[in-house]
Amino acid sequence: MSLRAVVTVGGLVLLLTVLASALRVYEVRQQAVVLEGNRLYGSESFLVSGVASTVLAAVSPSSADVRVFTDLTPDGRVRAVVSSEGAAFSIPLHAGRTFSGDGSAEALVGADVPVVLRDGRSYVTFAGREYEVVGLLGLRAESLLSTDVLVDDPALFSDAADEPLVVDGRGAREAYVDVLGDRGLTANPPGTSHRTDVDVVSPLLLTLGGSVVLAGLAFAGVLASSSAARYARVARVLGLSRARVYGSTVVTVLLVWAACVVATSAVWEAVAGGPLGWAPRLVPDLALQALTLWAAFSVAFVADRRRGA
Amino acid sequence: MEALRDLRSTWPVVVLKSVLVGTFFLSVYNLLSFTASTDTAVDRSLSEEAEVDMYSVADTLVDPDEFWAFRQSPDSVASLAAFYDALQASTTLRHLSVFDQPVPVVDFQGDERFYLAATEGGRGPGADVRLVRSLQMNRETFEFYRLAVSSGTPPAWDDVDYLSRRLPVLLGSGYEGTYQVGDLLEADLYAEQLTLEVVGFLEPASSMFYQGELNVFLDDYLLLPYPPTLGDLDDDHTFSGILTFAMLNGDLAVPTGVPTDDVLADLREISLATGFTDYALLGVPTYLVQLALVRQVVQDNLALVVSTQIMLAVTVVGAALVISTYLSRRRRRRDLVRWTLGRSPDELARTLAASWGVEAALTLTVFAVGLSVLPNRSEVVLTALLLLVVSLVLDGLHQQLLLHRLLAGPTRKDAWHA
Repeated sequence: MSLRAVVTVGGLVLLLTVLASALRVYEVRQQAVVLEGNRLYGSESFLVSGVASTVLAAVSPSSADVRVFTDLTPDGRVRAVVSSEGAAFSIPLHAGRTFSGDGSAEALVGADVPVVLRDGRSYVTFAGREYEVVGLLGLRAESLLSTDVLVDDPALFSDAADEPLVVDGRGAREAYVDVLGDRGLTANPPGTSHRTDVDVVSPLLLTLGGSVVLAGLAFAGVLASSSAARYARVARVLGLSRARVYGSTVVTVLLVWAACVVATSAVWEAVAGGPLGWAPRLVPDLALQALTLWAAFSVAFVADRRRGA
Repeated sequence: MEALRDLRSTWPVVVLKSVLVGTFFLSVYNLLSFTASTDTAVDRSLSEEAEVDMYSVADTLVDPDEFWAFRQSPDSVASLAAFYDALQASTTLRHLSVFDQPVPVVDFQGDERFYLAATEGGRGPGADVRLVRSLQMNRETFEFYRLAVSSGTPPAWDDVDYLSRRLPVLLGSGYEGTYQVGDLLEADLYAEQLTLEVVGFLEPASSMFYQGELNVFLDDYLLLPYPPTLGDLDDDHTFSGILTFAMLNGDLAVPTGVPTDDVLADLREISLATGFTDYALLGVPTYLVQLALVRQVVQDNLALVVSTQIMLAVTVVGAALVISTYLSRRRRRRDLVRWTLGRSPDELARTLAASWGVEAALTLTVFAVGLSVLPNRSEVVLTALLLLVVSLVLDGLHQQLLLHRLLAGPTRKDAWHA
């Protein structure tokens, strides 16, 4: 591949990977805004009466980000949440971090919740136990969550008697119905998202944006192949087989793509101020991008042979 | 034909370009539809007109004996009725009378999201009665929250007559399919048998502020209108007494800037004039706070979509330009050969236009197929289509420009390729 071709393909791939990572950032941010408007419940959440550990065990194999809430006070301002190992969802925070999941007694509170300061850390007390405040709820200090408290403590859930639970997560409802049936299952009252069609528009934007990325990468593959094929025709004279040219170009193209991915991720992390690593479907997304790029390149390269000089 | 030959070698890239551009305009349509949805949501319940100081008004007769004694005295009930009517007449205070008394309905057809429980009603054993979720409200409330019907008509507020025991009701949009306009429901309210006639269905996602919560959606509620005045209810103290008390309870919407002391003074004046004193006024600042915050969330949703859409646009324009340049390069040699063989520039331009025509048709097909799958908002489809057509025309012109530049002066590279 000539330098000019590398630059063109590289520029195009850079543009597309910037878009792809922008879509990931969008997904995380939008989920945080939606959760803030719906009291931290997603649009797929549902009410059920049961035991949290049973529900989690039944649902977590099929739903990667399932979480279970229960109200600890009658007005629902103080809640406990439990999720399976490694599950993460985009809690809207304007300070601090989310739960570490290492079993320590942690809580997330809104900016208007009174806390006790000690040794430079904040604590809230509930039911005689003290929880360290690790983050502040809401995208800003003044938010719909400013008087909420979210506690990470599985002991606050009953382990034998049924209690009212809110279960949330992608695919959680289908998984629950498959395993435990739909008796007693009711929809969660809708929140702010019900006012607009954001629950339809947002996934659609991600799908359409993803299609644009893939179509663009497919073309980048074709572009790389046309340059490589031209070179291959001439390089035969020097004794370089087509396979050699194919191999070296594939490596170049994939390296360029990988460099773009790493560069854009690093820039976004610096700008967005947080790791994108947990973004849902990151690995399958990247795999699909690389696959599209390579497949388009290969098909175009092979087809070019038949086109001849 | 020359165009067909051209497409035979360039069709994969042409298809990719069509998919790219068609998909992009589907996302533009998506954005336009979301903008329309957000505008509707904000206009309907989160607009500046909804920004008022909210107070709640309630009676103070919490002791059951006091309550019962009050209702037994026709003079007391009359003073309360006069108080209510005077409140309605006030020009500064908007009395949003609303209460969520569940209404027992006999032989209710809906499923469990519409009712709280099944009970044995006053219609005797064996009667299948459900406590249906309901909101009773006056006209002021209905208008303040900009509630509207999607089918049927709003109730004729001035004709609401509890004496006739037949009332018009609105059903939330969740009821569509279960009941029709014109259906009748038999209900018991405050121990009176009423016939409720369905006159319309509320728009989906109709909402109001109730008991401290702004996101109360009426999709699964039965909306029962209050009478315009309390002055001429009948002498049956049970029903009219309870109804009168229920109707006092609600919110007062006052324009911001009116001091609380003025509100209290207005109420005191009405109280002195009518003789009813057992009321209490409570400030509800959470209304304005929630209004601003919910509006912020809705606007943040839109801002995120718009900024991502802009990134998408930049990328698509860049990619489309690269693709167009590539296609024009692919066609270069063929065009030069044809030109050398004596074809006029016009013929070459026509071939190019034919290829462009196929491209445009493909893009429009992708767009149309996508539209048929997506939920349709007809008012924005045309805008998106128009933008698509404009972009196709610009692209066609750009391609012609590249051809023109080629014919103006081929370069040494072209000789090398040949």
